[in-house]
Amino acid sequence: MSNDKILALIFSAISEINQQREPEHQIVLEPDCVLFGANGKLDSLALVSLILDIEERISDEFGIAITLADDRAMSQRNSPFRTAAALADYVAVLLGEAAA
Amino acid sequence: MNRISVGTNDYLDFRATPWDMRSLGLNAIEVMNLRYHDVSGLDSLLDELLHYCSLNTIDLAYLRVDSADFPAKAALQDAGFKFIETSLKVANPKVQKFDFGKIIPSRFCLRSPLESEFPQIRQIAHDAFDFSRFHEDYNISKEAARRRYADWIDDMFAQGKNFLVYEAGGAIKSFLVYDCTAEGTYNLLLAGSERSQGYLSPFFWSSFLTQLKAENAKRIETVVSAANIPVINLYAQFGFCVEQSLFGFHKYFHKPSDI
Repeated sequence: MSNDKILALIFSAISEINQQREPEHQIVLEPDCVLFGANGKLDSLALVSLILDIEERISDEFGIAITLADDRAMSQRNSPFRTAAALADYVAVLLGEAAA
Repeated sequence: MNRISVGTNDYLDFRATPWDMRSLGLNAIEVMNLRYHDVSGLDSLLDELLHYCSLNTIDLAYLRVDSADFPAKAALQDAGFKFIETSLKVANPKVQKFDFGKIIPSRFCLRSPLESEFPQIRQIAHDAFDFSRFHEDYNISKEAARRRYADWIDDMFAQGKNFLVYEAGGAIKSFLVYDCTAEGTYNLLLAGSERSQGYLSPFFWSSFLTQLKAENAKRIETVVSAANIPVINLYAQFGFCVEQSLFGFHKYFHKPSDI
């Protein structure tokens, strides 16, 4: 599964969040958009909501159940939730393992 | 606990806080209870308190009063106390009826920490917090406030408080300190996550609330800074309601220049 397809799915979930936000708080749909942490656009509750939404979309779209926020994610040296691109990379790894 | 009384019905209870000497270099007292029936009694109590502080070379006196206690707020300011912070007492009184995992999945396994892990907990307590009556006191440096929170971990460990931690990849990521009564009321004293991974807080909160529910908690309560909007929203998600708002006041009688 290509990262582009995963990134599109992530952007689709972010777009839904954007619909509830004021123009000045929109999250730009770019791979390097910072989701959380310094200069991040989401607080922890919003990030959790996004993570759960993406898990659900992946299950619906690809028929594969993955858990994004778990012990493994928390053990990563670099957070997989920092940017949309980092999240897409992490999803690709999990999907690859699930398919193997 | 010490008591200053005026007349038959007015009194205030206070305690020495020697841990503030260790962390902040301040000889401090905390007023725990302020009971008065009229403004004259209140003024007399504060006069007596100031007199006590002067006689005992107290550097700092601090207390919280109900935000609707207008006479106390006025009298404290007239007596030279400065407003420092607002805090909210929040509680979920129906824990057994609440499915925390339905709000946010309870994904993390929690356990009691090993003694060897306390330096990690101490480090998180040092790094993770921006809000408290000391972090928000403009007279106290951020580093001193952080040191006080790290030292607080040592004190709570020595006092035998309950600790839970979440560990991943061999490192402590989050911790919770609490105590509980026989009646099933759980008081959350301090909870935090490694600063770089604060995004996991909702999962951690869901996990520890679910665990306390399994321990048969009936009511869970805590005090949070009104400035800490993300945590207030988090508690609201989990069915906590604001029960009381409190204004915190500090009065310095002598302040070292380097705290």
